Amino acid sequence: VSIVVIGIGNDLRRDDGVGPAVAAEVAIDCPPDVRVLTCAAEPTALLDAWEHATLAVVIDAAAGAVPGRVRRMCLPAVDDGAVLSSHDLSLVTTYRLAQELDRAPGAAVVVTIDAADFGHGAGLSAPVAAAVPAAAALVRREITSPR
Amino acid sequence: VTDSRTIRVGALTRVEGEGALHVELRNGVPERVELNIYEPPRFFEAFLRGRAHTEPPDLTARICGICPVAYQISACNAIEDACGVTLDPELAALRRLLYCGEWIHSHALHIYMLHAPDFLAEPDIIAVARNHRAAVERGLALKKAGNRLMELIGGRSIHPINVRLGGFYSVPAKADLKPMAEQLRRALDDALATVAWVAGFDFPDLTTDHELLALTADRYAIEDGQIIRSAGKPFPINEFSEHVVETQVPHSTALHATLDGGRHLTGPLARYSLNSAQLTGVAREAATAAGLGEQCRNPFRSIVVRAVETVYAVEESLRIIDAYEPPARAFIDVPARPGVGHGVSEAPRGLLYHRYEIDDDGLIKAAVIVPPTAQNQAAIEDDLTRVVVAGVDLDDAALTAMCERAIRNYDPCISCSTHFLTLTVDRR
Repeated sequence: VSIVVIGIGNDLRRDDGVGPAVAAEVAIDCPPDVRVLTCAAEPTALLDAWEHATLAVVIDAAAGAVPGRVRRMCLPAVDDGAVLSSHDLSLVTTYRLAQELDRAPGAAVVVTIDAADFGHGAGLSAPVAAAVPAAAALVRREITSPR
Repeated sequence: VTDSRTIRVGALTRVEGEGALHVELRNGVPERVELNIYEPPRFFEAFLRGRAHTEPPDLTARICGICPVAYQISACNAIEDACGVTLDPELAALRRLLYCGEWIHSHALHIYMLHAPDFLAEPDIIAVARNHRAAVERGLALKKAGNRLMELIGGRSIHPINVRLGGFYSVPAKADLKPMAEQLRRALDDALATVAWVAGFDFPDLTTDHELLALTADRYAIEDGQIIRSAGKPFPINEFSEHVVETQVPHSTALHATLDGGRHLTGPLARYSLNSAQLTGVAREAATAAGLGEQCRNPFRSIVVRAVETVYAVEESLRIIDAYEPPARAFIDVPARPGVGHGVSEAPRGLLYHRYEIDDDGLIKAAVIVPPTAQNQAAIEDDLTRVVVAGVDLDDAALTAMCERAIRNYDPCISCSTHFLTLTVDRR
């Protein structure tokens, strides 16, 4: 059994750093078979992290309407249709690529936290910082619940 | 009776950044062909003013997530020039090694994920992975080797943190490079297979006459060099702004650059056509086997040139690692002194020029950054005109697709140049 928790984001763009912040919180008290890592949404790093995983939990900031709101969704159901392909592949495109290459995790869950501020600088906004424990608790439930 | 049509592409895909294309045809003759870059200007040159002379390498790296090393190295070259510092040869070699990592990762990304779908008649990388799985696995392994090399020398693969004026914050031990060399030897096989793969694609006929501008050096120019061009007289780097002039055009937020008033081309085709004699070893053999002559003037074949350059970058990396001994010092001090410095390097997309003026307090007084995509815009529009003339009998969808391909030939980095796509064709 191999479970991987991945915090995605840039901690120098304010609330975009919430993915790594939640991953750090999960890593403090984490079952031994769970790997916790942080990365930019770079496709080869994600494909490597996902390969052979039975479960992948991806934590990312979301451009949502309610700062601090924590949401859970299955990665295949995420709609990123608004994202135009550029030099990097989106999270969903990378997941579809992983499926074609048989590198997709057995299950893939995304935990998102609505951001208030994607501006320059370190530090989370108050509502997003306050949401970190709840998001970490949700991730822990995901990785400890029988599947 | 006039036959008019307009083709518009609102947002170009598989390019970096935001741009559009507008083509107007009257009786089959293109009247307007414009690449509209609508990504907002980013004002880097303005906010560099007043910053310490040590800061531009890290600040300008943020212009691009794909070619940050190009920005770091051109910035270092310019400021070291202003301060009268010359790098130790061992540190220059390490810089070249880091830059090779960026070439491998950037070229692999463009060849496999952005450009190959055009030649395979597939909509995107997902479809390519479904129908050409081994190729995509190979491309990902190649890109990974480039990323790993950037992590090893630069500290991380996106926006490396280990580059500083005069060299590096820390340098690797010889033993650190051994596993990298093993990965690069596998990457060399992948890079050679890439050349053979892309050489088998069908290439539309298109011969361009843009003047070519690139760097030349003792070896195939990457991290530094002197100006070389196909027609005009070469000029020293400190005269760059007198020859390559940027002007504002109404239809784009990116500046358009000209070379002595004319259209010019920088990037893989220019580099290869001006320096192909310097390719060595298996890169030379791969180029010949792929059917490339001494020059390549068909932008659709740029994918082959990128593949050959990838082989070269892997070979160069192995050569540098083989000869590597840890430098006696990780960096040379670069104390500020008032003056002007000019720096160039060959970003994956072409020649990248930086100029900095440093004041008495060691602060940046003025900055000029001329990225390759800004230089190539006139050449891209000229190619588009030729493609539209040749494809005038195509329906709008097919003509639009051909125009988008013509633009992707350049691997344009719109984010870098905004200082880039939506296609509209207007047939009247």
